Amino acid sequence: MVEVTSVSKPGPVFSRTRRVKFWRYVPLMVLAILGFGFPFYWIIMGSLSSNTAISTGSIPLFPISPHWANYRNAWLYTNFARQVLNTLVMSVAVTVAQVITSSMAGFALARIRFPGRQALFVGFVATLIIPFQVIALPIFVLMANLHWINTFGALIVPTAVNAFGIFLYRQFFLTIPEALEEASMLDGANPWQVLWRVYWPLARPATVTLSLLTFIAEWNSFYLPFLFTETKTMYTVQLGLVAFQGEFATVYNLLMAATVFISIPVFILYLLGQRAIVEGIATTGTKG
Amino acid sequence: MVGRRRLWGWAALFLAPAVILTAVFFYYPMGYILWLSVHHWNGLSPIKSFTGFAEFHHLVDESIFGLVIRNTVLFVIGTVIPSIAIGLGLALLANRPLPLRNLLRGISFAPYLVSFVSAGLAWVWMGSSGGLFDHLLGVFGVHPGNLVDDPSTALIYVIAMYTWKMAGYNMVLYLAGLQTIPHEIYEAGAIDGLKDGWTQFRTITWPMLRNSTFFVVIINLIFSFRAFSAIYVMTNGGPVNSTTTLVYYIWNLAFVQNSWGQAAAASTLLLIVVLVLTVGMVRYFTKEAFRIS
Repeated sequence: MVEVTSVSKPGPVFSRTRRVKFWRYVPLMVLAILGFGFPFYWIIMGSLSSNTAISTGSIPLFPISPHWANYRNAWLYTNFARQVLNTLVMSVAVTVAQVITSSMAGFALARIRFPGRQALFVGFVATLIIPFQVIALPIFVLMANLHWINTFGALIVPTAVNAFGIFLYRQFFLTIPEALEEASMLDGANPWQVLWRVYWPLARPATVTLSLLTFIAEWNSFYLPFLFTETKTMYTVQLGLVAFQGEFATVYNLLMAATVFISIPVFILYLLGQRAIVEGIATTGTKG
Repeated sequence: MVGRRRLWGWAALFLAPAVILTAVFFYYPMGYILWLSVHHWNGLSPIKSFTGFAEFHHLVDESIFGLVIRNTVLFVIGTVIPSIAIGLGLALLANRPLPLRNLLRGISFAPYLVSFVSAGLAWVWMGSSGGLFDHLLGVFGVHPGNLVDDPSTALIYVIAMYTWKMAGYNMVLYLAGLQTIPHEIYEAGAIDGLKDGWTQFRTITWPMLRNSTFFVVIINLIFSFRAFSAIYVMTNGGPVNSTTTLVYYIWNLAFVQNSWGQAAAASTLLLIVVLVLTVGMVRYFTKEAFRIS
């Protein structure tokens, strides 16, 4: 193959097409980067603007005199510390619960042959199609009957299982050679021990991917906490942000400051686990 | 794979948490919503009276119903097609061995990471009069004023925000698809005279991305039908209901109007639409697969 291309395209011609391609595509890339990235820059500039600048719409393109106090004020004006704590409790609990329920179910579906296995797997995956809003009303009634509205129970338990996680672990466990499990069974380990001591440690990439994606989804989630909480003491950060908008609708510099700081944890997680996040999304696309 | 019967008990144990939770928080609510859609209930009283399809009739008879369907169709088509097309364009660009490609990947994926609430609020500010878009369009002599307050621009503006947020996600899916195309195919194509970019894309890349497109279309349809928070924070369904979509209407019926029977009928409608579309897509794409192979 290499010979063919080098014969049909001698050196100088090739480098000229390279240069043509560069000038054709790099401006497009710059345009796309500006289009997708500029709103972020503008939000940060807005969050550092003075009250006059933001109300007259004359945001400086460069931070000439940044008003860092906007961040402190946005944090203090509402009960954000409490909301961050609530969101952390909800997100961590849901993430841990999903990792446990998904790895157990994924293990059984991948490694134990039993009647109805395929139907059960389809039954799980089908849940991914239906919008949460379709089933939200009955769950709300259920939560109200249990007196769980405005408690962590309502924020955590309905999302403690996720078919995406089951799918992810099942695919991962299917790739592990059978000999491993036979060897551990011969050593006298029961399936419970085989799962947690042998398989689960091997599935660390799946665990990292699921944890990151679930945590980010929970941190950003709105509809479920919006329906299932009533008082500000149970609000999550996203609800807090909406409440903040309600009170300070046009104080956009503070609103943008709040928007920036509640997005920071997600970006930190993305920078730490970029590969796992992107691969997790890509896997569902190529293997799903 | 171990198939001995004594392991069935273990399988049941491992599956119990997931099965119980899925049954209680998915299949039971599904059944309940279907049951509720043929009953009348105000959300409070203990009485839920059987009404047959009356709630569906009431739903369809509401003067706003036609508008809700129109908004939903416009929103779904208006978000799915551009965000897939732009996502594919971004993937094709970011797949080239050119400088800036990692920056392009990172920046265009970043909007997907922020919540719809944050992104929605930021776009409300950027679309306000004196905001970013007012300045940008002012260059062309257009002063649209407050984009979310105008019934003629509100839906388009929400769609624009949604597309900005989802295109990078589609790029990631398409990039994964592009990496599965063997390079030899392009080289073989070059020998046959397929050299210019568009012909290569049309005859090699696009057909080879069929599986990616299948998944991308389904997942974008599912996401778009679910879009609630962006609409809630940006427009509250307004102005004059111009951004009220089906999911927003369901919430409004149940929690604002206390009309749970109608909300259940609307939920059932959404369920049917999503199921029909998904099954239709699966059948369409698998049929194609049989025809090609």
